Amino acid sequence: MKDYNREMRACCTVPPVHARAGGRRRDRTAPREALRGFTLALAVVLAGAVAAGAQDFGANINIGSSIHEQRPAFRSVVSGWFRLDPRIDDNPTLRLLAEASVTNITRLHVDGEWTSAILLDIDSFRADGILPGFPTPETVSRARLGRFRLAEPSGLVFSNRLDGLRLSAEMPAIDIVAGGGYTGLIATHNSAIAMTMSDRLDDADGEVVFGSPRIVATAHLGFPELFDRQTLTVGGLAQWDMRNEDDADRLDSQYAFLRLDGPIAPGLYYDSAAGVSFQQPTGTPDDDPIIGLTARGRLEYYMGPQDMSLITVRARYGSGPGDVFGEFVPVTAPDLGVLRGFDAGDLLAATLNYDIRPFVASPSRAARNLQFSAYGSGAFRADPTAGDGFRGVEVGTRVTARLLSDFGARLWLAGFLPGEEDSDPEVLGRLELSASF
Amino acid sequence: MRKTVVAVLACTVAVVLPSVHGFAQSGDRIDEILVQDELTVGSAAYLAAASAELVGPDATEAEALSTLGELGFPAGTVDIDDPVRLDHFSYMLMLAHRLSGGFMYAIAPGPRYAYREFRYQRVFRGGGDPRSAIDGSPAMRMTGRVVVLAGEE
Repeated sequence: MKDYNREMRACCTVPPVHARAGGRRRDRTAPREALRGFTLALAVVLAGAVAAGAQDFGANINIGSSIHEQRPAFRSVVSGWFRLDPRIDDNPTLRLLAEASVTNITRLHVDGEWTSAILLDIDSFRADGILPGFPTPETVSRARLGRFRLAEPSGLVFSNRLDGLRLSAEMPAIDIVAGGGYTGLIATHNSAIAMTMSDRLDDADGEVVFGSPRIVATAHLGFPELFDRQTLTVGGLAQWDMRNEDDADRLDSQYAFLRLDGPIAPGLYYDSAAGVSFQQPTGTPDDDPIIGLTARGRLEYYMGPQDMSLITVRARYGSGPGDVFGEFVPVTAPDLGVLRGFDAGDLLAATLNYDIRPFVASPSRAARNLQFSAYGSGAFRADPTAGDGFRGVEVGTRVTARLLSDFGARLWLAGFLPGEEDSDPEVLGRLELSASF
Repeated sequence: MRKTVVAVLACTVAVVLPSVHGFAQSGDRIDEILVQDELTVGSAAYLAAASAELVGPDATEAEALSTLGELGFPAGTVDIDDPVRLDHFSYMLMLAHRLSGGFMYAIAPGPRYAYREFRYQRVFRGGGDPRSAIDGSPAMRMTGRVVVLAGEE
């Protein structure tokens, strides 16, 4: 979902590369050659995996289309994966997972011309180790090394693939987690980092292969069911922009966050988080960073098993440029649960969502797994009393059908009414099909 | 402690499988299965076939495996005393309870897509190695879950 939103924003905010390069088009034979090479490499890898005794392997296909009057787009992803579980005596467990994908994105640009690109990436290439009883008998220690998705627990700052390491120790009263890595070898279409204009320009530039180059380090402490079944998490994250020193558009930042979640009453659950950021754009002294604030909250009410109705209220705040605080800039764009995305900074947004599975008692499994959703979301600037404080409102509906265990579909339609007077209302949509083999 | 666990699981099976009265009555066979560190192919076949009432409670493991073989299980490729693989046990249960499975299971029924189906349906926990052996207790839990699924289909 983030990828679609990101593509849409890229279309909106940055002219496509051929427009900036005087109408230059990419060489269309190169993707075909790359695809052939990739397919061959994938076949060799899978054959090697089978020969090496891979315990499981498979493929996934995801096809989606973004419905938009001016900017329709089609995206299909074919990925292959395999898994190895080397047998080790005693307790340790080791698992190796590799996944690679071919993505085709076809979209209509503002100049009325369709472009199509075939993009390759290694989605995962990682080793997971589990050490029960280390270093104390009550502890379960885990290690993950390679390429994987790393997400900090607040949901405010970072969730992206990277090449790195994650270590954790789960004890009865506390969880200790630390991780980090480098994001500059992730393909642009799989990287959600958009902190600076340089990041966004690279994202929209078909000639740029890799996403924003940053070193990310994060750590947090979790206190599960600390009191009254409430879980507290505190942590921090730092990232360093690895662009050239002479690049005028660099941004380093550090974050501290706190999360509290748990049940309030039967069927009622909340999840909240708050954070502060310290940002050092190029030219800003390290001892005088821009300070940003952010917070989010989610309240869920499960209405019972008869139709599995769920009401969710979400709210999010990100400080804007002002006298006391600066604009909050996360490392990766947040998922606001809407089709028309907003930047996380200078934002005050609220969403009301209702999910229902009306045929949950049906004898048909496909009917049982049919879910309908409706939502409304409004967004303002961080200071809603400002003259242009209203950013827009989106109303939408989703139908999700998990027809079989290996085949599913989702249709999402929404209408967006922008806050700016000179902007027109938009009708947005997305159709997704997924299958696994 | 172990006896307590066995007793609780046996009671669970008796409650979960009220329709297979005879199966619940064969307490000794259940006890025998529950304490197996690695469930054998024969015990797995018996568990799958008896829980679906394809064989009686006094059937032998060979009879149970033969019955599953008639339904399509590759009985000739396994040894009755070997530890059963998770994907093979999944396929036995799918066949015995005539579960429909996903699109790929309909095209190419076999252990691979039976395992995938059960992983999706959360019949077993985690994404375990499909070729791994399983203990008697989790096998009994899987059987109970499959009986519930079969009742829903």
